[in-house]
Parts: sequence; C-alpha cells; structure tokens
Amino acid sequence: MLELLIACGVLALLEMDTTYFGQFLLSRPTCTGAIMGYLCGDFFLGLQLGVFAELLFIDFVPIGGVVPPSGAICAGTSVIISAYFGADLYFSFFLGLILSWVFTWVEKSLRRYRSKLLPEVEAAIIDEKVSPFQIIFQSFVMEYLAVFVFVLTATSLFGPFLYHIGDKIPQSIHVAFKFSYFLVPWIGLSMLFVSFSTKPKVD
Amino acid sequence: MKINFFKIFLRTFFLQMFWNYRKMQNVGRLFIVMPILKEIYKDKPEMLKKAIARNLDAFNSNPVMSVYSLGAMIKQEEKIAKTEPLRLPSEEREWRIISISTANTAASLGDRLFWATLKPFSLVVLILILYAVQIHTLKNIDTPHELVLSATIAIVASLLVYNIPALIIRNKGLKDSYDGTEDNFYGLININWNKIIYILKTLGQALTCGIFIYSIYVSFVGEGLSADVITKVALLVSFLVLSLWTKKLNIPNMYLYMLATLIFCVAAIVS
Repeated sequence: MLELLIACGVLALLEMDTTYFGQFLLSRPTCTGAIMGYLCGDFFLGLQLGVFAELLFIDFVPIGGVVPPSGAICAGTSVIISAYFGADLYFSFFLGLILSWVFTWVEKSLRRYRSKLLPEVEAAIIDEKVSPFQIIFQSFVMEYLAVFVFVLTATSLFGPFLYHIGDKIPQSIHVAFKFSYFLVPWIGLSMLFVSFSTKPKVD
Repeated sequence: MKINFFKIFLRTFFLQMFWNYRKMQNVGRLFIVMPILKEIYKDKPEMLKKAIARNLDAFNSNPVMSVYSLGAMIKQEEKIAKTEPLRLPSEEREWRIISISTANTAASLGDRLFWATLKPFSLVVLILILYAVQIHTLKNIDTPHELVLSATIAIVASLLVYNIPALIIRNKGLKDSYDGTEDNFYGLININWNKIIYILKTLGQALTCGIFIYSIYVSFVGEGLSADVITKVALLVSFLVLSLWTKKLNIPNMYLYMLATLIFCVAAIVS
C-alpha cells in the first residue's frame, strides 16, 4: 500500500510539470513511465508504456489554453495498473488512455474553479491582503491534491478490477487488444514523421 | 535600476501556476514581476497598486518564450515610474500594446519551436540512443536489467536536448527583451527562429525515417514469411495509411488506436 501511495504521490508531482511548474518535460510520458516503472519494480515495462504513450500523444499540442489528454497520467496509471496490480499490459495501456481523457475533465474543472475565484483573488492582491506567492502556493497544493486523489482512486479502483477480470475475458479479446497494442509504435512513428512536416498547415 | 534577472528567471517557472480561463497566466505574471514592481514603486504606494492591477490584465504566452514579453514590460514599467502624470495614460497604453504584441508573437514562435519541434525531436533522440544501446523498447520489454543505466542516460539526454535550449532562451530572452527596442521587436527578431525550426524539423524527419527502417528490420527481418507475419505487415500498412489520412482530418492518433482496438474486438467476437 505504501508503495502505491508513493507511486501516486510521485505521479501527481510529475503531472504538475505538464502545466503548473517548470515544464522541464519530466512529465513527458517516457520519463514518467520509466520513473513509475522503477518505483513499481519493472523499469522496462514502464519505459515501453511511456514511449508508446508519448508516440500516441505527440500530436496533442497544448496551445492557447487547450487541455489535451495528459500523457503523464496515461503512462503513469497504466504502469501502476500493470506493474503494481499485475494487470495485462495491453489492457492497462488502453485504460490509461481512457483515464488521461477523463483527467481533462478534472483539469478543466479546476481551471473553471480558479476562474470563478479570480475576481476575489485579484481584489485581495490589489488590497495587499494576500501576496501572489500565497495564491501560487495554495494553487499548487490544491492542484497536487486533486491529481493525487484522482490517480489514487483510479488506480486502486481499476487496477484490482482489471487484474481479476483478465482471466475471464475471452482469449480472442486478449488477442485483439494485443494486436492493437502492437500497432501503437507504428501509428506513432508515422505521426512523428508527419509532426516534422515543414509544409505550412492548411485547415 | 539594477534588475536581478536571476530572481525573475527562477520565478518564470511558476508562470502558469494559477492558470484560469478568464485571464489565463495573469497571476503568474504578477508573481514574476512583483519584486521589480516593489522596487520601482517603493516610494509610490498608489502607483504600485495601479501597476499591480495593470499586471493582472489577461496574459497568455508560451511558458518559455514569454520572457521576451516580460523583459520588455519591465522596461516599460520603469519608464512609467519616471513619467510625469500628464503623460501617464499614453505610457500605460504603450505598456498594454507591448504586452499584447510580444506575448502573442512569443506564443506563436514558442509553440512551434518547443511543443511542435523540440519536444518530438528529443523523443527521436531518445529512441535513437535506446536503439544504439540495443534496447528494443518498441518491440519488447524483456531487456537485461544491466541496461537500466543506459536507458536512464538516454532519457536524461532527451531531456537535455529540450531543456538546454529552453534554459538558454529563458535567460537570454529576458535580458534581450529588457535591452531591446521596437526596432528589434524587443529582442524577438535577434534570432532566426524560422531557420532553426526548419533545420530541426528536416533533421527530425530524416532521423524518424531511419528509426522507421531500423524498427522494421528489428521487428520483421529473420521472422520468415509466415501467415502471421504477412497478416501483421498487411494490417500495419493499412493502419499507417489510415493514420496519415486521419492526420489530414485532424483526428488524433489516440482515437485511431482506440478504433483499431474496437475493430479487432468486433472481428474477434464475430469470428
């Protein structure tokens, strides 16, 4: 249990790098996957899930306040579900993608909440009742806790569930998931190639 | 006034901390410039209040390139502090013009350079180093434990490929924009960004081709021409074509993968 708490705590911290602090790319799926893999006892499983997630997420560019699905959440949760709870790799990767998509809803809600708070915060700063540092610190703590709770809840709910139903799922479905998992790097590499296109984009 | 650029540089890492839909990075920007404002207006509390309110205006830029906006705004803030009351509105208007124009241009350049070029380029570097040290992570996870260090070095190298230019630009951009003028667009046109982006993208494309060819070699050469391999290759080619087509329609690859999973599941159930 402590191992899970540490893994979720570290994942939440890494996720902060996506938007809120630094943007050193520590939250890139490859890096997150490898760190989570190391913490959960299977470094190379984490690395593979991370590279696969990054290849699939390469076409999401966070411009102009858009909240794309989080690659860090996808890589991190799928590594925890797979390496810590022992679920099949291809199922946990698929679940990680869904969780990253669900997480955008959490992120958007937090941003909306801060928007509502803004007039009050601005007035307090102008009147010197509160410093920008205090606001930033509180925002960091709130965001971190929200991510931590999300990650912990998602992995402790779906991890054991996926592990237990793994055997009951028909073998043909296992093959189907395995095969689509095999396609991920190839789809990703083609996207990587396209992402380097120097032609101007026409919409 | 002597500006402590290092303090500002450190604070730029917190720019997006209170990101909100109304004014985006406004609180983050104020946090960055707050020590400077306190210094500039230390004997003028009313003007400090006005400056704080001004810096809480909407602001949105690329987190790295935003320094090109911040330096120029600090410079203009110093100008406002020295301005006589009559000329104050026009200098404040000038501050807003600088804020909007530099932030937008820096955002556009930064998103293209960092998110759309350097980030994927650093991934290419990572995969190349992994292949160079015989870690075939795209194919399997059964890698000897002794290679953990090599893989870690590959990850660190890919992070450096992104972070070294990012840190240099954060530091240099702040000073360049502070010393800049309208003529060099506050330091933004001191560097030929388009050329850098073009070179990196061309190199990235060539290296990705290399990775693709080597991946095919690692995955299929030596496997023989069994029905399994032929099926895999056929499906692979179809999904590669589909992937290029979905890109044209702006459909992210994540959905293509999900579609593939769905198709295979339906096929498995039907058969």
